[in-house]
Amino acid sequence: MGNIDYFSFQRVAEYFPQLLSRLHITLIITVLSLVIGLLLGTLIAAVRLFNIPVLKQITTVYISFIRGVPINIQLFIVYFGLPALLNPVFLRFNIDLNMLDAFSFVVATYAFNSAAFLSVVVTAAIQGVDKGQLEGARSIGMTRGQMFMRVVFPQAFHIAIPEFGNTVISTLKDTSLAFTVGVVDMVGVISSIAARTRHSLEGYVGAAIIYFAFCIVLEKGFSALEKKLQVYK
Amino acid sequence: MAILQTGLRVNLRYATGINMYKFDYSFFLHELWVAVTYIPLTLKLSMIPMVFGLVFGTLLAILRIQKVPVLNTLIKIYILIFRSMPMVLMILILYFSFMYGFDTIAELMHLKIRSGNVPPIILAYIILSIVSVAFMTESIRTALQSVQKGQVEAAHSIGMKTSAIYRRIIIPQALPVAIPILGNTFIGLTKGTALVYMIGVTDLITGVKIEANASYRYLEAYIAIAVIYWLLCIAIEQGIRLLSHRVNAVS
Repeated sequence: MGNIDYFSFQRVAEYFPQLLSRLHITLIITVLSLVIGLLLGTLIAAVRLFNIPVLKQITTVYISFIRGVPINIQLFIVYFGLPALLNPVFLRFNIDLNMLDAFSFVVATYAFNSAAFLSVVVTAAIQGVDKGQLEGARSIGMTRGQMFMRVVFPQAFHIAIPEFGNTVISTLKDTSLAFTVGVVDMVGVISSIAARTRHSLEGYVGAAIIYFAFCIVLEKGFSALEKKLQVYK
Repeated sequence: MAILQTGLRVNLRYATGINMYKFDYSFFLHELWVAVTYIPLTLKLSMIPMVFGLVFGTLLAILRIQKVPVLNTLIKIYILIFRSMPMVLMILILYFSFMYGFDTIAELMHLKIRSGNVPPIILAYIILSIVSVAFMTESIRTALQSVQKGQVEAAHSIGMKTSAIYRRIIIPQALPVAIPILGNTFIGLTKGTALVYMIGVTDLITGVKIEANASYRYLEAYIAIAVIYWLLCIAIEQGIRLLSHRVNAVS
Protein backbone atom coordinates (compact mmCIF):
# COMPACT_ATOMS: atom_id res chain seq x y z
CA MET A 1 0.00 0.00 0.00
CA GLY A 2 1.08 3.56 0.23
CA ASN A 3 0.29 6.66 -1.61
CA ILE A 4 -1.30 5.64 -4.85
CA ASP A 5 -1.52 8.37 -7.43
CA TYR A 6 -5.25 8.51 -8.14
CA PHE A 7 -5.71 11.64 -10.16
CA SER A 8 -3.58 14.32 -11.71
CA PHE A 9 -4.44 17.23 -13.94
CA GLN A 10 -1.18 16.65 -15.72
CA ARG A 11 -2.49 13.34 -17.01
CA VAL A 12 -5.74 14.98 -18.10
CA ALA A 13 -3.66 17.33 -20.23
CA GLU A 14 -1.54 14.44 -21.44
CA TYR A 15 -4.55 12.37 -22.59
CA PHE A 16 -6.34 15.32 -24.12
CA PRO A 17 -4.69 15.15 -27.57
CA GLN A 18 -5.41 11.41 -27.74
CA LEU A 19 -9.08 12.10 -27.05
CA LEU A 20 -9.18 14.91 -29.58
CA SER A 21 -7.71 12.59 -32.21
CA ARG A 22 -10.92 10.50 -31.98
CA LEU A 23 -13.27 13.47 -31.72
CA HIS A 24 -14.09 13.32 -35.42
CA ILE A 25 -15.71 9.88 -34.96
CA THR A 26 -18.05 11.35 -32.32
CA LEU A 27 -18.90 14.31 -34.54
CA ILE A 28 -19.42 12.19 -37.67
CA ILE A 29 -21.81 9.93 -35.77
CA THR A 30 -23.74 12.97 -34.52
CA VAL A 31 -23.98 14.76 -37.88
CA LEU A 32 -24.73 11.67 -39.98
CA SER A 33 -27.41 10.43 -37.64
CA LEU A 34 -29.02 13.88 -37.41
CA VAL A 35 -29.15 14.26 -41.19
CA ILE A 36 -30.65 10.80 -41.67
CA GLY A 37 -32.85 11.37 -38.64
CA LEU A 38 -34.19 14.64 -40.03
CA LEU A 39 -35.13 13.01 -43.35
CA LEU A 40 -36.75 10.04 -41.63
CA GLY A 41 -38.35 12.29 -39.03
CA THR A 42 -39.89 14.53 -41.70
CA LEU A 43 -41.31 11.43 -43.36
CA ILE A 44 -42.80 10.28 -40.06
CA ALA A 45 -44.17 13.79 -39.46
CA ALA A 46 -45.79 13.73 -42.91
CA VAL A 47 -47.46 10.41 -42.09
CA ARG A 48 -48.78 11.90 -38.86
CA LEU A 49 -49.89 15.21 -40.37
CA PHE A 50 -51.69 13.61 -43.31
CA ASN A 51 -53.31 11.13 -40.93
CA ILE A 52 -52.46 8.09 -43.02
CA PRO A 53 -54.28 5.17 -41.39
CA VAL A 54 -52.27 2.17 -40.07
CA LEU A 55 -48.96 3.96 -40.78
CA LYS A 56 -49.91 6.61 -38.24
CA GLN A 57 -50.55 4.00 -35.56
CA ILE A 58 -47.20 2.39 -36.37
CA THR A 59 -45.41 5.73 -35.95
CA THR A 60 -47.15 6.26 -32.60
CA VAL A 61 -45.86 2.92 -31.33
CA TYR A 62 -42.42 3.65 -32.78
CA ILE A 63 -42.14 7.04 -31.10
CA SER A 64 -43.36 5.64 -27.79
CA PHE A 65 -40.78 2.83 -28.00
CA ILE A 66 -37.89 5.19 -28.72
CA ARG A 67 -38.97 7.51 -25.89
CA GLY A 68 -39.43 4.71 -23.39
CA VAL A 69 -36.30 2.62 -23.94
CA PRO A 70 -32.83 3.71 -22.81
CA ILE A 71 -30.55 4.54 -25.72
CA ASN A 72 -27.89 1.98 -24.80
CA ILE A 73 -30.49 -0.79 -25.00
CA GLN A 74 -31.58 0.54 -28.40
CA LEU A 75 -27.95 0.37 -29.51
CA PHE A 76 -27.73 -3.32 -28.72
CA ILE A 77 -31.10 -4.12 -30.25
CA VAL A 78 -30.07 -2.51 -33.54
CA TYR A 79 -26.59 -4.03 -33.35
CA PHE A 80 -27.91 -7.56 -32.88
CA GLY A 81 -31.34 -7.18 -34.39
CA LEU A 82 -30.75 -5.41 -37.70
CA PRO A 83 -28.59 -8.22 -39.16
CA ALA A 84 -30.98 -10.82 -37.78
CA LEU A 85 -33.95 -9.05 -39.33
CA LEU A 86 -32.51 -8.03 -42.69
CA ASN A 87 -29.93 -10.71 -43.43
CA PRO A 88 -32.42 -13.09 -45.08
CA VAL A 89 -32.95 -10.36 -47.70
CA PHE A 90 -29.38 -9.09 -47.94
CA LEU A 91 -27.78 -12.52 -48.16
CA ARG A 92 -29.52 -13.01 -51.51
CA PHE A 93 -27.36 -10.18 -52.80
CA ASN A 94 -24.31 -11.72 -51.13
CA ILE A 95 -24.15 -9.01 -48.50
CA ASP A 96 -23.67 -10.21 -44.96
CA LEU A 97 -24.74 -7.48 -42.55
CA ASN A 98 -22.84 -9.26 -39.79
CA MET A 99 -19.65 -8.19 -41.49
CA LEU A 100 -20.43 -4.48 -41.18
CA ASP A 101 -18.58 -2.82 -38.35
CA ALA A 102 -20.22 -1.37 -35.26
CA PHE A 103 -19.98 2.20 -36.56
CA SER A 104 -22.76 1.70 -39.12
CA PHE A 105 -25.08 0.25 -36.52
CA VAL A 106 -24.36 3.07 -34.12
CA VAL A 107 -25.22 5.65 -36.81
CA ALA A 108 -28.38 3.68 -37.62
CA THR A 109 -29.44 3.63 -33.96
CA TYR A 110 -28.92 7.33 -33.43
CA ALA A 111 -30.65 8.06 -36.72
CA PHE A 112 -33.69 5.99 -35.67
CA ASN A 113 -33.59 7.66 -32.30
CA SER A 114 -33.33 11.25 -33.50
CA ALA A 115 -35.93 10.55 -36.23
CA ALA A 116 -38.52 9.87 -33.53
CA PHE A 117 -37.70 13.03 -31.58
CA LEU A 118 -37.39 15.20 -34.69
CA SER A 119 -40.70 13.92 -36.07
CA VAL A 120 -42.37 15.24 -32.93
CA VAL A 121 -40.56 18.57 -33.35
CA VAL A 122 -41.53 18.86 -37.04
CA THR A 123 -45.15 17.90 -36.39
CA ALA A 124 -45.51 20.43 -33.60
CA ALA A 125 -43.83 23.16 -35.66
CA ILE A 126 -46.09 22.70 -38.66
CA GLN A 127 -49.19 22.47 -36.49
CA GLY A 128 -48.02 25.63 -34.76
CA VAL A 129 -48.60 27.71 -37.87
CA ASP A 130 -51.91 29.54 -37.66
CA LYS A 131 -54.64 27.87 -39.76
CA GLY A 132 -56.11 31.22 -40.79
CA GLN A 133 -52.93 32.03 -42.66
CA LEU A 134 -53.38 28.94 -44.81
CA GLU A 135 -56.91 30.00 -45.63
CA GLY A 136 -55.63 33.47 -46.43
CA ALA A 137 -52.93 32.08 -48.69
CA ARG A 138 -55.43 29.90 -50.48
CA SER A 139 -57.81 32.79 -50.93
CA ILE A 140 -55.20 34.77 -52.85
CA GLY A 141 -54.68 31.76 -55.11
CA MET A 142 -51.41 30.25 -53.90
CA THR A 143 -50.72 26.69 -54.91
CA ARG A 144 -50.03 24.08 -52.22
CA GLY A 145 -46.30 24.23 -52.99
CA GLN A 146 -46.23 28.02 -52.71
CA MET A 147 -48.22 27.86 -49.50
CA PHE A 148 -45.71 25.50 -47.99
CA MET A 149 -42.59 27.34 -49.16
CA ARG A 150 -43.75 30.91 -48.46
CA VAL A 151 -46.13 30.60 -45.52
CA VAL A 152 -45.71 27.37 -43.60
CA PHE A 153 -42.01 26.60 -43.87
CA PRO A 154 -40.51 29.93 -42.71
CA GLN A 155 -42.73 30.04 -39.64
CA ALA A 156 -42.43 26.34 -38.81
CA PHE A 157 -38.66 26.63 -39.10
CA HIS A 158 -38.71 29.42 -36.57
CA ILE A 159 -40.93 27.48 -34.17
CA ALA A 160 -38.77 24.36 -34.49
CA ILE A 161 -35.38 25.94 -33.76
CA PRO A 162 -35.27 25.64 -29.93
CA GLU A 163 -36.50 22.04 -29.82
CA PHE A 164 -34.29 21.12 -32.75
CA GLY A 165 -31.34 22.51 -30.80
CA ASN A 166 -32.28 20.36 -27.82
CA THR A 167 -32.39 17.26 -30.01
CA VAL A 168 -28.98 18.07 -31.50
CA ILE A 169 -27.48 18.46 -28.03
CA SER A 170 -29.05 15.31 -26.63
CA THR A 171 -27.94 13.31 -29.69
CA LEU A 172 -24.41 14.58 -29.19
CA LYS A 173 -24.54 13.57 -25.54
CA ASP A 174 -25.97 10.16 -26.42
CA THR A 175 -23.01 9.40 -28.69
CA SER A 176 -21.01 8.96 -25.49
CA LEU A 177 -22.58 5.47 -25.33
CA ALA A 178 -21.34 4.33 -28.74
CA PHE A 179 -18.32 2.73 -27.06
CA THR A 180 -20.55 0.05 -25.51
CA VAL A 181 -20.82 -1.73 -28.88
CA GLY A 182 -17.13 -1.27 -29.60
CA VAL A 183 -16.85 1.96 -31.57
CA VAL A 184 -13.53 3.60 -30.79
CA ASP A 185 -14.71 7.17 -30.54
CA MET A 186 -13.65 9.75 -27.97
CA VAL A 187 -14.98 7.67 -25.06
CA GLY A 188 -14.01 4.35 -26.60
CA VAL A 189 -10.36 5.34 -26.78
CA ILE A 190 -10.32 5.84 -23.00
CA SER A 191 -10.38 2.09 -22.39
CA SER A 192 -7.26 1.64 -24.50
CA ILE A 193 -5.60 4.50 -22.62
CA ALA A 194 -6.66 2.84 -19.37
CA ALA A 195 -5.30 -0.53 -20.48
CA ARG A 196 -1.94 1.09 -21.17
CA THR A 197 -1.64 3.43 -18.20
CA ARG A 198 -4.10 2.02 -15.60
CA HIS A 199 -5.67 5.45 -15.33
CA SER A 200 -9.15 5.96 -16.71
CA LEU A 201 -10.60 8.74 -14.54
CA GLU A 202 -8.45 11.37 -16.27
CA GLY A 203 -9.71 10.15 -19.63
CA TYR A 204 -13.34 10.44 -18.55
CA VAL A 205 -12.72 13.92 -17.16
CA GLY A 206 -11.09 14.96 -20.44
CA ALA A 207 -13.97 13.59 -22.50
CA ALA A 208 -16.46 15.28 -20.20
CA ILE A 209 -14.70 18.61 -20.71
CA ILE A 210 -14.89 18.23 -24.50
CA TYR A 211 -18.58 17.30 -24.38
CA PHE A 212 -19.21 20.19 -22.02
CA ALA A 213 -17.54 22.67 -24.39
CA PHE A 214 -19.52 21.40 -27.37
CA CYS A 215 -22.83 21.49 -25.50
CA ILE A 216 -22.26 25.04 -24.31
CA VAL A 217 -21.27 26.22 -27.80
CA LEU A 218 -24.28 24.54 -29.38
CA GLU A 219 -26.64 25.92 -26.75
CA LYS A 220 -25.33 29.46 -27.19
CA GLY A 221 -25.37 29.05 -30.98
CA PHE A 222 -28.97 27.94 -31.08
CA SER A 223 -30.19 30.66 -28.76
CA ALA A 224 -28.32 33.24 -30.85
CA LEU A 225 -29.96 31.83 -33.98
CA GLU A 226 -33.34 32.00 -32.30
CA LYS A 227 -32.79 35.63 -31.36
CA LYS A 228 -31.60 36.50 -34.84
CA LEU A 229 -34.71 35.02 -36.40
CA GLN A 230 -36.87 36.91 -33.96
CA VAL A 231 -35.73 40.19 -35.53
CA TYR A 232 -37.28 39.30 -38.86
CA LYS A 233 -40.57 38.28 -37.36
CA MET B 1 -16.94 -1.17 -15.25
CA ALA B 2 -17.35 -0.52 -18.90
CA ILE B 3 -17.14 -3.78 -20.75
CA LEU B 4 -16.35 -3.75 -24.44
CA GLN B 5 -18.82 -5.80 -26.39
CA THR B 6 -16.78 -6.10 -29.55
CA GLY B 7 -17.19 -9.32 -31.38
CA LEU B 8 -20.20 -10.57 -29.46
CA ARG B 9 -22.17 -10.97 -32.61
CA VAL B 10 -19.25 -12.65 -34.34
CA ASN B 11 -19.15 -15.13 -31.46
CA LEU B 12 -22.76 -15.93 -32.14
CA ARG B 13 -21.97 -16.71 -35.75
CA TYR B 14 -19.16 -19.03 -34.76
CA ALA B 15 -21.33 -20.69 -32.18
CA THR B 16 -24.23 -21.32 -34.51
CA GLY B 17 -22.38 -21.51 -37.80
CA ILE B 18 -25.17 -19.74 -39.62
CA ASN B 19 -25.79 -16.25 -40.93
CA MET B 20 -29.53 -16.44 -40.42
CA TYR B 21 -30.69 -15.68 -36.92
CA LYS B 22 -33.69 -17.58 -35.63
CA PHE B 23 -35.49 -15.77 -32.85
CA ASP B 24 -35.94 -18.12 -29.91
CA TYR B 25 -39.38 -17.25 -28.51
CA SER B 26 -39.31 -19.58 -25.52
CA PHE B 27 -35.94 -18.20 -24.45
CA PHE B 28 -37.33 -14.68 -24.96
CA LEU B 29 -40.25 -15.45 -22.64
CA HIS B 30 -37.83 -16.86 -20.09
CA GLU B 31 -35.73 -13.67 -20.29
CA LEU B 32 -38.85 -11.56 -20.01
CA TRP B 33 -39.69 -13.33 -16.76
CA VAL B 34 -36.15 -12.79 -15.46
CA ALA B 35 -36.49 -9.12 -16.36
CA VAL B 36 -39.81 -8.87 -14.48
CA THR B 37 -38.11 -10.07 -11.29
CA TYR B 38 -35.72 -7.12 -11.54
CA ILE B 39 -38.48 -4.49 -11.79
CA PRO B 40 -38.52 -3.76 -8.02
CA LEU B 41 -34.77 -3.06 -8.08
CA THR B 42 -35.10 -0.78 -11.11
CA LEU B 43 -37.93 1.11 -9.42
CA LYS B 44 -35.88 1.48 -6.26
CA LEU B 45 -32.97 2.78 -8.30
CA SER B 46 -35.19 5.47 -9.81
CA MET B 47 -37.47 6.22 -6.84
CA ILE B 48 -34.83 6.82 -4.15
CA PRO B 49 -32.89 9.36 -6.28
CA MET B 50 -36.25 10.86 -7.26
CA VAL B 51 -37.19 11.48 -3.61
CA PHE B 52 -33.75 12.93 -2.90
CA GLY B 53 -34.11 15.06 -6.00
CA LEU B 54 -37.51 16.37 -4.91
CA VAL B 55 -36.37 17.30 -1.41
CA PHE B 56 -32.98 18.80 -2.22
CA GLY B 57 -34.10 20.07 -5.61
CA THR B 58 -36.83 22.15 -3.94
CA LEU B 59 -34.31 23.47 -1.45
CA LEU B 60 -31.78 24.43 -4.12
CA ALA B 61 -34.48 25.87 -6.37
CA ILE B 62 -35.63 28.18 -3.57
CA LEU B 63 -32.01 29.20 -2.89
CA ARG B 64 -31.70 29.99 -6.62
CA ILE B 65 -34.90 32.02 -6.74
CA GLN B 66 -34.09 33.94 -3.57
CA LYS B 67 -30.70 34.66 -5.18
CA VAL B 68 -28.70 33.75 -2.08
CA PRO B 69 -25.22 35.09 -2.85
CA VAL B 70 -22.34 32.62 -3.44
CA LEU B 71 -24.68 29.61 -3.08
CA ASN B 72 -26.65 30.75 -6.11
CA THR B 73 -23.50 30.77 -8.25
CA LEU B 74 -22.35 27.41 -6.91
CA ILE B 75 -25.72 25.79 -7.65
CA LYS B 76 -25.70 27.34 -11.13
CA ILE B 77 -22.30 25.79 -11.88
CA TYR B 78 -23.38 22.42 -10.46
CA ILE B 79 -26.48 22.36 -12.66
CA LEU B 80 -24.64 23.62 -15.73
CA ILE B 81 -22.03 20.87 -15.42
CA PHE B 82 -24.57 18.10 -14.93
CA ARG B 83 -26.89 19.23 -17.68
CA SER B 84 -24.14 19.76 -20.26
CA MET B 85 -22.34 16.46 -19.87
CA PRO B 86 -23.39 12.96 -20.87
CA MET B 87 -24.84 10.99 -17.96
CA VAL B 88 -22.47 8.02 -18.51
CA LEU B 89 -19.43 10.20 -18.05
CA MET B 90 -20.95 11.81 -14.98
CA ILE B 91 -21.68 8.41 -13.46
CA LEU B 92 -18.22 7.03 -14.24
CA ILE B 93 -16.42 10.15 -12.99
CA LEU B 94 -18.42 10.21 -9.76
CA TYR B 95 -17.86 6.48 -9.32
CA PHE B 96 -14.09 6.72 -9.60
CA SER B 97 -13.99 9.86 -7.49
CA PHE B 98 -15.93 8.13 -4.71
CA MET B 99 -13.80 5.02 -4.83
CA TYR B 100 -10.54 6.93 -4.80
CA GLY B 101 -11.76 9.42 -2.22
CA PHE B 102 -12.93 6.59 0.01
CA ASP B 103 -9.58 4.82 -0.24
CA THR B 104 -7.65 7.99 0.46
CA ILE B 105 -9.69 8.77 3.57
CA ALA B 106 -9.55 5.17 4.75
CA GLU B 107 -5.77 5.18 4.37
CA LEU B 108 -5.42 8.46 6.23
CA MET B 109 -7.47 7.11 9.11
CA HIS B 110 -5.64 3.75 9.04
CA LEU B 111 -8.87 1.85 8.54
CA LYS B 112 -8.89 -1.67 7.17
CA ILE B 113 -11.98 -1.01 5.05
CA ARG B 114 -11.44 -0.23 1.36
CA SER B 115 -13.67 0.98 -1.45
CA GLY B 116 -13.97 -2.60 -2.69
CA ASN B 117 -16.02 -3.36 0.43
CA VAL B 118 -18.68 -0.78 -0.39
CA PRO B 119 -21.61 -2.44 -2.16
CA PRO B 120 -21.95 -0.88 -5.64
CA ILE B 121 -25.69 -0.44 -5.17
CA ILE B 122 -25.08 2.11 -2.38
CA LEU B 123 -22.80 4.04 -4.71
CA ALA B 124 -25.43 3.82 -7.43
CA TYR B 125 -28.04 5.37 -5.12
CA ILE B 126 -25.66 8.18 -4.15
CA ILE B 127 -24.51 8.91 -7.70
CA LEU B 128 -27.99 8.82 -9.22
CA SER B 129 -29.22 11.09 -6.42
CA ILE B 130 -26.53 13.66 -7.19
CA VAL B 131 -27.52 13.57 -10.85
CA SER B 132 -31.21 13.71 -9.98
CA VAL B 133 -30.89 16.75 -7.70
CA ALA B 134 -29.29 18.71 -10.56
CA PHE B 135 -32.12 17.91 -12.97
CA MET B 136 -34.86 18.35 -10.36
CA THR B 137 -33.60 21.76 -9.27
CA GLU B 138 -34.00 23.13 -12.78
CA SER B 139 -37.44 21.55 -13.23
CA ILE B 140 -38.71 22.82 -9.89
CA ARG B 141 -37.32 26.29 -10.49
CA THR B 142 -39.11 26.50 -13.84
CA ALA B 143 -42.37 25.51 -12.16
CA LEU B 144 -41.97 27.91 -9.23
CA GLN B 145 -41.12 30.80 -11.53
CA SER B 146 -44.18 30.15 -13.68
CA VAL B 147 -46.19 31.91 -10.97
CA GLN B 148 -46.68 35.55 -11.84
CA LYS B 149 -44.35 37.98 -10.11
CA GLY B 150 -47.17 40.41 -9.45
CA GLN B 151 -48.90 37.92 -7.19
CA VAL B 152 -45.80 37.52 -5.06
CA GLU B 153 -45.41 41.29 -4.85
CA ALA B 154 -49.05 41.67 -3.90
CA ALA B 155 -48.65 39.06 -1.16
CA HIS B 156 -45.59 40.89 0.13
CA SER B 157 -47.49 44.18 0.13
CA ILE B 158 -50.21 42.80 2.41
CA GLY B 159 -47.49 41.66 4.80
CA MET B 160 -47.29 37.92 4.17
CA LYS B 161 -44.10 36.16 5.20
CA THR B 162 -41.97 34.51 2.51
CA SER B 163 -42.74 31.05 3.92
CA ALA B 164 -46.47 31.80 3.85
CA ILE B 165 -46.18 33.08 0.28
CA TYR B 166 -44.57 29.83 -0.81
CA ARG B 167 -47.12 27.73 1.04
CA ARG B 168 -50.27 29.60 0.06
CA ILE B 169 -49.54 31.35 -3.23
CA ILE B 170 -46.65 29.85 -5.12
CA ILE B 171 -46.82 26.09 -4.47
CA PRO B 172 -50.56 25.62 -5.14
CA GLN B 173 -50.16 27.35 -8.52
CA ALA B 174 -46.80 25.82 -9.38
CA LEU B 175 -47.91 22.24 -8.71
CA PRO B 176 -50.00 21.72 -11.88
CA VAL B 177 -47.13 23.16 -13.93
CA ALA B 178 -44.56 21.08 -12.08
CA ILE B 179 -46.12 17.64 -12.44
CA PRO B 180 -45.58 17.10 -16.18
CA ILE B 181 -42.04 18.54 -16.01
CA LEU B 182 -41.14 16.41 -12.99
CA GLY B 183 -42.72 13.43 -14.70
CA ASN B 184 -40.41 13.82 -17.67
CA THR B 185 -37.45 14.12 -15.35
CA PHE B 186 -38.56 10.95 -13.58
CA ILE B 187 -38.75 9.08 -16.90
CA GLY B 188 -35.26 10.34 -17.71
CA LEU B 189 -34.01 9.03 -14.37
CA THR B 190 -35.66 5.66 -14.91
CA LYS B 191 -33.93 5.37 -18.26
CA GLY B 192 -30.71 6.48 -16.56
CA THR B 193 -30.83 3.40 -14.33
CA ALA B 194 -29.86 1.44 -17.45
CA LEU B 195 -26.34 2.79 -16.97
CA VAL B 196 -25.61 1.54 -13.44
CA TYR B 197 -24.42 -1.85 -14.68
CA MET B 198 -21.27 0.02 -15.67
CA ILE B 199 -20.34 0.56 -12.04
CA GLY B 200 -20.86 -3.06 -11.14
CA VAL B 201 -24.47 -3.13 -9.94
CA THR B 202 -26.30 -6.37 -10.72
CA ASP B 203 -29.35 -4.70 -12.19
CA LEU B 204 -31.95 -5.66 -14.77
CA ILE B 205 -29.45 -5.55 -17.63
CA THR B 206 -26.77 -7.65 -15.96
CA GLY B 207 -29.30 -10.13 -14.59
CA VAL B 208 -30.93 -10.71 -17.97
CA LYS B 209 -27.62 -10.78 -19.84
CA ILE B 210 -26.10 -13.44 -17.56
CA GLU B 211 -28.78 -15.84 -18.76
CA ALA B 212 -27.89 -15.13 -22.39
CA ASN B 213 -24.15 -15.62 -21.99
CA ALA B 214 -24.26 -19.38 -22.51
CA SER B 215 -26.20 -19.29 -25.78
CA TYR B 216 -25.09 -15.89 -27.12
CA ARG B 217 -28.77 -15.09 -27.53
CA TYR B 218 -28.29 -11.40 -26.70
CA LEU B 219 -30.97 -10.15 -29.08
CA GLU B 220 -33.70 -11.90 -27.09
CA ALA B 221 -32.15 -10.61 -23.87
CA TYR B 222 -32.00 -6.99 -25.00
CA ILE B 223 -35.52 -7.04 -26.43
CA ALA B 224 -36.77 -8.38 -23.09
CA ILE B 225 -34.93 -5.54 -21.29
CA ALA B 226 -36.37 -3.01 -23.74
CA VAL B 227 -39.93 -4.29 -23.27
CA ILE B 228 -39.67 -3.92 -19.49
CA TYR B 229 -38.25 -0.39 -19.70
CA TRP B 230 -40.87 0.54 -22.27
CA LEU B 231 -43.71 -0.75 -20.09
CA LEU B 232 -42.27 1.00 -17.04
CA CYS B 233 -42.11 4.32 -18.89
CA ILE B 234 -45.63 3.94 -20.25
CA ALA B 235 -46.89 3.17 -16.74
CA ILE B 236 -45.12 6.23 -15.33
CA GLU B 237 -46.50 8.39 -18.14
CA GLN B 238 -50.05 7.21 -17.44
CA GLY B 239 -49.54 7.78 -13.74
CA ILE B 240 -48.42 11.34 -14.37
CA ARG B 241 -51.39 11.95 -16.63
CA LEU B 242 -53.81 10.75 -13.93
CA LEU B 243 -52.05 12.79 -11.26
CA SER B 244 -52.08 15.96 -13.31
CA HIS B 245 -55.80 15.50 -14.04
CA ARG B 246 -56.40 15.22 -10.31
CA VAL B 247 -54.33 18.27 -9.47
CA ASN B 248 -55.91 20.32 -12.24
CA ALA B 249 -59.36 19.35 -10.99
CA VAL B 250 -58.52 20.46 -7.44
CA SER B 251 -56.84 23.76 -8.20
